[in-house]
Amino acid sequence: MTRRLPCAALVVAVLAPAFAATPPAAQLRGETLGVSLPGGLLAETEVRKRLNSGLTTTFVVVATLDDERTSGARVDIRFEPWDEVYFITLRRIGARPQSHRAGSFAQLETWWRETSLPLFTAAAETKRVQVAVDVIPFSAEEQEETQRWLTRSLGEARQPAPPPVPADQGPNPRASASGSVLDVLIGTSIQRRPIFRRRWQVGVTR
Amino acid sequence: MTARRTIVLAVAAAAALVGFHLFIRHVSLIAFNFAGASEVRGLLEESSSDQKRLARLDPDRGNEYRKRFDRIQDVNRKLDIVALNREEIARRYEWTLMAVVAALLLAFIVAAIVSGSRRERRLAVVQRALEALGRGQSDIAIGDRSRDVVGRIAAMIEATSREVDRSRRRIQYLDHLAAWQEAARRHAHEIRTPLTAARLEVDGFVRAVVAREPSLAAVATEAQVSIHEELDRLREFTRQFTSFGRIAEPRRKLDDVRDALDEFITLFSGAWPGLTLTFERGDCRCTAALDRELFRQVLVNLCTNSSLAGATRVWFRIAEQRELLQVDVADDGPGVDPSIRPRLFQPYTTTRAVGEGMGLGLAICRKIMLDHDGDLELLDQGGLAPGAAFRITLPKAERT
Repeated sequence: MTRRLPCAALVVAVLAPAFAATPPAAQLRGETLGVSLPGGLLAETEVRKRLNSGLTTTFVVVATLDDERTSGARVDIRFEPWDEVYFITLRRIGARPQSHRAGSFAQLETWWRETSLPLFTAAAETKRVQVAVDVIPFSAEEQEETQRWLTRSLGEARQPAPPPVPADQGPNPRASASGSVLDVLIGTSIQRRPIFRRRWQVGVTR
Repeated sequence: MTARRTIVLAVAAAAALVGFHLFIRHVSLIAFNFAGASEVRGLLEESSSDQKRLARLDPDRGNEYRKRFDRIQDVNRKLDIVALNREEIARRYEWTLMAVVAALLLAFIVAAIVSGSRRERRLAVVQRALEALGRGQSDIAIGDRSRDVVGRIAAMIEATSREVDRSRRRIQYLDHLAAWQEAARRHAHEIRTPLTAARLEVDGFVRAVVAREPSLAAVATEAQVSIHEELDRLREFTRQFTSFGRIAEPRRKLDDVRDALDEFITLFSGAWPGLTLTFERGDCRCTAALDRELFRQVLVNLCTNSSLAGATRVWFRIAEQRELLQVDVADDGPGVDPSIRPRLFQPYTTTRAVGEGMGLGLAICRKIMLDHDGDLELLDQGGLAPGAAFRITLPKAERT
């Protein structure tokens, strides 16, 4: 009995996140296989926290068929705290980006549930699809901006009483010029990494 | 450098790195924890909410509040990103510093190894030089001019070898001179006794001749005077021999060499007609253990030589050189004949005509100075003046 308890705890710890979000659905319409976004993912505490941070939260959806064909899409969601609206940008391979706007979190959830991503064509024979979703907490632009800000801040920390520079006036040239290798190294340590990743193996409905 | 020392250095460096890493791990997150503290973030959130409220209450300044709100949000978002990467930033910071410290340690170890092996090589050279010194070699030149311990030891070995060489030549010279002195003493003794007898016999013979034949008195007296003159020359010869054979041991006492020179100039300035004595007194600590009488004898001898050589001026100059005092005596005469320079201090070396000097003066002078633990040497041409230049050296002494 004492041996089984740790094993059970381990299984629960591994499987719990996968059960936390409703798996995505894969539906075949004609020759086109569409994958709906995994419902409940937005409600997860960490995701909800990220969504309301004001940073651009990116959901990278990658789907792989049994025949090794892979396709994907990306959903960028940014909350605008002043107007309290969510800006959504959907990017798919070979398609133009689509922008949406949700006035509340409930509207965002609705859009999320109802959106199906047509990821594969000529997939009539497909029975199963593997779907992976990575949640990245900020965009590449925000990453670069913060890298510059951190590098500049570290450089300014060593300067003797630099004049205050308003944030909208760009970097302090004096600090930038004196930015050491160490500052750059530390600044560039800010990287976009998924805060978590989900994987599902789902059957295709027709 | 031995492999053992290299290993010890490497282990010490590794221990230092580990210690540094443990230390830096504790301090690296402090700054980020401050920046990302929930209290700070909460205040920023509160502040941005205030801007929104203010914008509602004062719509005329809405844009201003909006800008402020955006700036606060911008900072907050960046702090959020920093907080998300907190571990990675701290790790990068740690490893960057670790790399710098490791590079410095590596450079130190490489420098220590290079310096150690160089020191080993230098020590081997010094050891060989010491062995050569032990074998009695006296012309040792190591050529290590470093100011560290090894360089100083090398300089000491070179100085010791020079001192050994100087002492050896001094002993050789004194042995040589002692043999000459012994011969001179014997010759003087052997000649002096029959000289007195010969003088008495001549006088007795002249008296007997004059008593028996008064008409021969003038001739006999003339012969007697002539024989006496020759005997007097022989007596002077033996006197010089005796003087050379019995050079007095110096009775030294602490004295200011400048005062001794001043006194000499004062007393002897008119001793040699046509010869002017000049003393550049200088400024030095000039105390030495000196027998002033013998020292004066040396100076007299040098000035006499200058005068006989036709010099009109003699310069004296005193200087300090480490533990020695140097008194240079130079004249404006014709200088020393190059053919006799190598054996100038050997007894019976002279360029004067037969009967005008025996060539013992400089040998006696050098003996006097050697007995003072100093020396007398002939300088190369081109010293103080165009003529002959001699250097008297004396060990300095502290006056108590």
